[in-house]
Amino acid sequence: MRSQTKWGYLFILPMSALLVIFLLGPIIAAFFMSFTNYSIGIPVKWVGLHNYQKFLQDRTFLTSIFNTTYFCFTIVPLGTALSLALALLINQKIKGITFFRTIFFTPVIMSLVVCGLLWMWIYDPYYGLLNNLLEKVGFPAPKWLKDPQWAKPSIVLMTLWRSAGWEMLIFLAGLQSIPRVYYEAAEVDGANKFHCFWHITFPQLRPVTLFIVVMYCIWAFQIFTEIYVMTQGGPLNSTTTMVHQIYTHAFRSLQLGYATAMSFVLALIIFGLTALNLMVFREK
Amino acid sequence: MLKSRRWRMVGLGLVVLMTTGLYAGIAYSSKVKLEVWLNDNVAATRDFLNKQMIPAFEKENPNISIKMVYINWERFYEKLTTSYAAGAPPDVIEPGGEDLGMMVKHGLARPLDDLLADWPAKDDFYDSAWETATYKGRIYRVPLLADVRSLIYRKDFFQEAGLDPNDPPDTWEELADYAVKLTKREGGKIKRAGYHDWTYFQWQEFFYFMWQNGGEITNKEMTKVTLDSPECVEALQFLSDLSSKYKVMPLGGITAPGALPLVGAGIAAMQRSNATVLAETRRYAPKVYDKLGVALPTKKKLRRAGVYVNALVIVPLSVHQKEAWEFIKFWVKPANMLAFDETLFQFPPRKSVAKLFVEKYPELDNFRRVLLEYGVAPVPVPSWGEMYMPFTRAVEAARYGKKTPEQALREYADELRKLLKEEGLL
Repeated sequence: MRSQTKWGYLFILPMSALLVIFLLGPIIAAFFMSFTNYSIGIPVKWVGLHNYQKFLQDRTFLTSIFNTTYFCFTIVPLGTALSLALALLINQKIKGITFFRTIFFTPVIMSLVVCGLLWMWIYDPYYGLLNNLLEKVGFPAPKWLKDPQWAKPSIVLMTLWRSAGWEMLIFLAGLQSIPRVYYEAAEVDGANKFHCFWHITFPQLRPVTLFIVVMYCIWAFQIFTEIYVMTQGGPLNSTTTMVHQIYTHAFRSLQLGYATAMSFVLALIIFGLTALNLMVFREK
Repeated sequence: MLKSRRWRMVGLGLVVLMTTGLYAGIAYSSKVKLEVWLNDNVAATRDFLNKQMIPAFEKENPNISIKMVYINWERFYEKLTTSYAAGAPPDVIEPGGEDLGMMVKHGLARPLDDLLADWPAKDDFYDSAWETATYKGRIYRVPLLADVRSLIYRKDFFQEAGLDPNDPPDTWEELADYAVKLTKREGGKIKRAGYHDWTYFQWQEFFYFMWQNGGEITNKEMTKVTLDSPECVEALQFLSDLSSKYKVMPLGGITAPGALPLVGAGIAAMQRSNATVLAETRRYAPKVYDKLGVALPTKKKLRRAGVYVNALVIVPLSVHQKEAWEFIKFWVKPANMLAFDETLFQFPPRKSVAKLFVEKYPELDNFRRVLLEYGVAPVPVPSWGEMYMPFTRAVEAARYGKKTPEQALREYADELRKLLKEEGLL
């Protein structure tokens, strides 16, 4: 037995070493870095809690927290509902259903940069497909990414389009694992489709929903590529997110110490949100 | 016996191969490998450097090999930061004109006064170019190209609007008046902007009018912030009025489809830009090229326009400082500088080269005049990295009507004072 344990540890040693060197080590180093004025080319100085106090007065960072929270509280419920709706639609044995599963999933496999560039043109106020269609039917055509009021909803819409396919597949797997007998028993008792969904499907999907909500929250709090490609945080900081601010401070302002402090604040927020989700979705 | 002999021959062959490889490796590694990062590049630039200039330099200097890395502005500081963190920075870099203070602050540029003292070619560069390379009395970089900005306009649109194509606007009032006449609308939307700004660089647009009104963000010594002065407020008000009062361009701007610039594509009648606009129009819409005019910058109190001199810097951590200097001197030799700047259609900052450039492209003579007589470079504030995006947002806030120009500039000036105080300048 002891020899087996020894072998077990030996087998997990390479991966553990990699995790320590490339994950744990940098996290610990970054933690210490967040208490310094670390930047490239200048001597490092200990500044204590200065970086953590600074962000409380940094209006742009506080705006980014608001924007990130906005993205989280719009994308998560809308994305979850949309992907569940799509999963329910494609969970049917009809001819050609594979085609629909494919087209719903295709945006997921596209590069985020390509999606961003594509949607920048769709949203263009002058040449974009969306405004051309809206104007043809007589609706007002907003400036989308160039309007501070519309920039955030534009990002949300593009994000939902891109990500819903992935969650749809996970929900689909969950739907197909629900035992058929429950529905048969409900039919016998005279339940209609809504009753079946509310009393059987939705409760049975609880673990899957928890997983999707947690993943969506983590992902929503890390939105960066869309902002970097499409808006650079504008107009008027209406779309800047926490990760975008961390990137800007690290790689444009060269304030790496301050950027790592922001990263830890972001990590704490994500931990807190994940814990909250686990509490809410806990089995009673 | 035959088998054993065969194996002996194979073994001997391997030893010979390994020894040759070892010697080749030693020979190769005894060469100095210089890594150079270049931001300003297009296909023609890469062709010139890879096929002509670098082979010529390596032939003259057989102990040096050049590794030219072509990057873009968006990724430049990201790559530089990670290369420094990895302990493998490049030897020579080409940063932007407004970054000098930030580069010196972060130890990313070494003073070159010792190297320039004995360099006879130094006097051939324009004084204004050396000024942009100087921080607190020391020169930190060698000018490579002068990104000169001025007013570019469509002569055919001027004629269409009943304006004299050889008489572009001279003052702010004329600029607004001409822009109104040149603006075209369709269904309530601006189809052609009378004047279009460089939307991504709002701070440069503001600087353009700020300098023309005699304003500045700080004094030369950076001991006093003047960004909230009446001159600066008036400049930002005028910039805001172009979209809100005169309505000559939409807020947020119009995106040019494809690679053609706005005036080349006919989306704008006038824009403030550099010679790249002419180069790209000539490449993608050659029939329009002759319809472009280059005007001198407008004036309010002064006739001014921005000059952003991109230059070559020797990275302090480089262990090949001497070789880096040799390569820089080779690059800025008149023939090489002319060929390089021609690929980008940017103005050479050397007098002898500029003369040849203008002889070849007389339509760019006004850019030369801006460089000589009207050019201004931004004050090299060391906290430029921290300030340029918030600054852009402050200008946006005024243009979108969220704050008055006075409010926007006063709030930002207070933040700049805090930053400069942290730098020990105020």
